[in-house]
Amino acid sequence: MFGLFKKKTESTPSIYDKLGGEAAINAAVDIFYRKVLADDRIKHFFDSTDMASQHVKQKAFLTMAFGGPNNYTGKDMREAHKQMNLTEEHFNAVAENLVGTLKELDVSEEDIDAVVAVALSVKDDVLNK
Amino acid sequence: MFKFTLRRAPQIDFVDADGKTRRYKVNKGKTVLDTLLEKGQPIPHSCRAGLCQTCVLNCDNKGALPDGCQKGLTDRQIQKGNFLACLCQPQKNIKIAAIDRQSEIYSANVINKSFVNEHIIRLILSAPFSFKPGQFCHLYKDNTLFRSYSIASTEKQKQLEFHIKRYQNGQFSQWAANELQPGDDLLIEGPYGDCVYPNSENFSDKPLLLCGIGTGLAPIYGILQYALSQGHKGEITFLIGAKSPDQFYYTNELNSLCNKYPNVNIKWIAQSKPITEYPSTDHLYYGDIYNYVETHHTSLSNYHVFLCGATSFVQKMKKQCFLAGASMQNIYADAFTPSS
Repeated sequence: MFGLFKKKTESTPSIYDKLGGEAAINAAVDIFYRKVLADDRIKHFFDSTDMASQHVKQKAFLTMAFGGPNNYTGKDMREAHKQMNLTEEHFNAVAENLVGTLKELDVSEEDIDAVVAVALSVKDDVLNK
Repeated sequence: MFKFTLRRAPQIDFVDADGKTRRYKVNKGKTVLDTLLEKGQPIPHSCRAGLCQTCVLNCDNKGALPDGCQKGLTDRQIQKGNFLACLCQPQKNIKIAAIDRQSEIYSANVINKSFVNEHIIRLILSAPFSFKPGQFCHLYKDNTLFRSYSIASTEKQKQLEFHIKRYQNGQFSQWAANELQPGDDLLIEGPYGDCVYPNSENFSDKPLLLCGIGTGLAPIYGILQYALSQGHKGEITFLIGAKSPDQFYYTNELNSLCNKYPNVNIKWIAQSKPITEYPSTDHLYYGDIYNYVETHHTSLSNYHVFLCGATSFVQKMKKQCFLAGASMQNIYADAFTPSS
């Protein structure tokens, strides 16, 4: 599990780097977060959260998903989502919005698949299985 | 002749929740977070990459902080010496603590108390600190009870002015209305908040949306005056909501600002018509403020938005403006936690 979070080697630039690093992530977060807040399947999870701090967490999530610098462990993802009783549908909703965001940013199919793979790798933790 | 300077490893003095100071030596290449966790002094943390801001701490001697460890924090937090423990590799000795230990409680004197109208108390206090329009303070009735109020002072005012809405069962507001007198002292904490006109270059051309309800009028009026005093040239849309038009105040002042500055547009948005006759003007609109923003401002993508008022309003309007395209970092709002 932890191996998936190791930084990639020099020869394979991550999507994070390809997109343009932090500045691009900031733009991506706005797009992604707007999609999430408009998605009836999951928007209620964000009703009582503070928007600014949730925005920061979304940024951390996207950075991880794009292969950027992070040190999230599976345990962190599990702990963070444990109390929410999430289902497959919720997970799929987030994944769809992630894919939608990448499509808007003109990311290649191949790279989109790579990002989805990262998201899938934390699915069991997020769903507390 | 040789001259050796043996560089001692930097030390962290960590003040814990009980006020006790513990000293930790920082090994080379280790962050504050690494050190605290290794030495059995756990602090909340998560991403370890400077993104989630869970590990934010405060540094008493912020000049000793290394570069880069305040990434992503607001100007206000940076000024206070807050930093991210996972990004901080100390090069010098630092004294740190958790951020909720920081409080700035002062004593202020009541200079004047009057009533703007039957619902709103205007309180004028001596100012124990400097402040900016749009910030807010905690006002204490006694040691256990405080309420948050936005500063209603204008930019030029040296004293602190607060507009306090009088609630029937309001523990603070009824006390302020009936018992608090000029000459009394009360405790005040602050100034807090990010709802402040930024002092950055290239800002004066940006379109602004200033939106408030009820007593939120006063702080956004303060921000408007400040913006104009800084020479703001961009379009400024000023929206103020209330249940009915007789609850609006500063109407003459604001309408004349609107006439004086062509880049300022004002709309008074009342939910319902008053019982008695009320003169209609171009600036008065009957309806729901959320609906008004939704229909008249469909795209807010370059806007900077300032929001003041009750928590539920701020949260809802913040979300709405974000969904209409305003960037999160361009929305300035403080939501006060609901009180019992």
